[in-house]
Amino acid sequence: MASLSRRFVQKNLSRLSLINCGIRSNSSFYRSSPSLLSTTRIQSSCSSSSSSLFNNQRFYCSVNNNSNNNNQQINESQQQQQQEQKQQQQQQQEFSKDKILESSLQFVNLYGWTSEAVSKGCIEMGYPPVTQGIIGDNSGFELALYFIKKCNKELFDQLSESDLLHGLSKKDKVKLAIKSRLSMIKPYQSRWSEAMQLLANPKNLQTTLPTMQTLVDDIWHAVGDRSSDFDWYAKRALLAALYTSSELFMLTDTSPEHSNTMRFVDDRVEDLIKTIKLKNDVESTVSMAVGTFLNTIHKSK
Amino acid sequence: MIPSLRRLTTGTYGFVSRRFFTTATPKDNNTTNEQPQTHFGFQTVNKNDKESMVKEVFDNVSSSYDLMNDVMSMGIHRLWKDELISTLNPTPGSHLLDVAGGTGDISFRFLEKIKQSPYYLPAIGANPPKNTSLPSSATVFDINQSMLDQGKKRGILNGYNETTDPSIDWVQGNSENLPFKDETFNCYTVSFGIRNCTNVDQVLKEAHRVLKKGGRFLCLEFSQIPNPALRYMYDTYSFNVIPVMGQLVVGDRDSYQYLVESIRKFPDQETFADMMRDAGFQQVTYKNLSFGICAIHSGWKL
Repeated sequence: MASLSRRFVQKNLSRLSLINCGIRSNSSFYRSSPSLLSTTRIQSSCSSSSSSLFNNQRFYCSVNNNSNNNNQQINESQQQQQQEQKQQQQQQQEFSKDKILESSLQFVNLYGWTSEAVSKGCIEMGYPPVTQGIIGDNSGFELALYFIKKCNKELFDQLSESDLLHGLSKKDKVKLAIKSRLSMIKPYQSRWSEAMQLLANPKNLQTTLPTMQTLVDDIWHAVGDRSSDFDWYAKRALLAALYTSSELFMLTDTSPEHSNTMRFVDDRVEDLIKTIKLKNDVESTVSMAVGTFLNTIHKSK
Repeated sequence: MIPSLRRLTTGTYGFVSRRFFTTATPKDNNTTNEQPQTHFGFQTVNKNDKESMVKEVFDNVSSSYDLMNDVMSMGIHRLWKDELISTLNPTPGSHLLDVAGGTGDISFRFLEKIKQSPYYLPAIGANPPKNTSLPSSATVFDINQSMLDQGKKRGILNGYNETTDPSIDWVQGNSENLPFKDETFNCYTVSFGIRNCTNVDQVLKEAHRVLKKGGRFLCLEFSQIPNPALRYMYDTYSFNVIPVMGQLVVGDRDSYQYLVESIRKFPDQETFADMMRDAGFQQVTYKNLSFGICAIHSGWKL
């Protein structure tokens, strides 16, 4: 809960400071996953993103209540300009590991998830190649970790902000979430096996397992699951296994638009729901049986 | 612990580096406070004299310096230096300033590492391919010309000079006043050298000056062992065995006595990290090697 509320605060803060943020994340989502979404869904989420934009403008308006409409617009533009300038200054002054990693991602397809890719990213940002050491001793792994964290965050934003999941059944929500997460690794599909190998390395498991935990948590949260008993663990473990196996399936999937992977995900989610249902059925049957048994004992006394 | 150390210095080893007393004895230092003082091993000497004294030590040992390193550390110093280069992880396009580089131990490792990079593609011949890798270089910088001469010979044997793609250059000078322009290099290493400098703060400032933005400072140096039991063993070994070995192998006990003492005088890991931060380095970290006999300090100019 604490992490969720923190994220919520961060998100709101970023919304206040950056209007463009929401638009950018949404647009990148469409670019990466055109096949997943039917046109109607794209339209609906487009309208949602534009409505969030209006909300932001309304926020600015409410700040400038005293001024006229014309002044409001001018003030808005001025504020935006000031903010952009501030951001630019900060970008120039502050050294950011995330920026280096972000610029390294474009070299992943050429150099793999390696320190070479990170040093190319450093050169791209105007630093010497040796600066890659600042990312860590194992900068290839750090790059992969950064990427999955980024994807998880993007997915969380998509699932929570837009109306993508509105009106879908639980099953479809899970399917959609997993598919959109899978589509994020499409650009690096040829190199993804290397990243999986790095992330699954026992040495690195301690840092990678929590990221899987967040991913699975986010999906179940977006689906609206509020289970608090042993189900909580079972559902998360099952979904993590499901997601990992679909990633593995996707590695060798050469079908157009990864249709095979998508079908695989559909089938596995069906299985998942079936398993959970079966478990609940067994549970209720057993509890009923035990109840009757106890009752008979009680009566016989 | 402390009395035993004092006994070591005043008693059995009281004759330590006796020839250096001619310039400044501890007695004189108490009476004349005009000149700033510094440590030279366990002695206190005038700051102005330390440089020439250190020079004398290394003049004495330069011819068999590499051999003696192997004998003293039982070959482990090679692993420490390998660790330093693997920490740096240089790729083509790196320009190294190897301060106190002496015979070029670090620089040659650096050049080899660059050559091993899968993306190393030097521009050779009349029509070099278009996608050649960025040129890289190492500059060995030392106060001692005789050490540099030893290194130069090694360089020629290994096929490196000023014109090859990973090029190597040899410059003599004082690390407190580097003869290079601002923002020239992108890595700066100093291995087993900074404790011999008179003004460590000044050396760090100069390092910060010549590094490019995003450049890395790496220091491999003897440090303090946190574990008291191990420290006792290490002290016993270095005070009793190393000077004797110096006598046997090189025929110079005093120089190695100085080496051992100067290690004890060098600040511990945390203090040195603070000194680096004061000089302007950021993201300062260190890691201990061999329980803390050595430490690699790393800092960035950002």
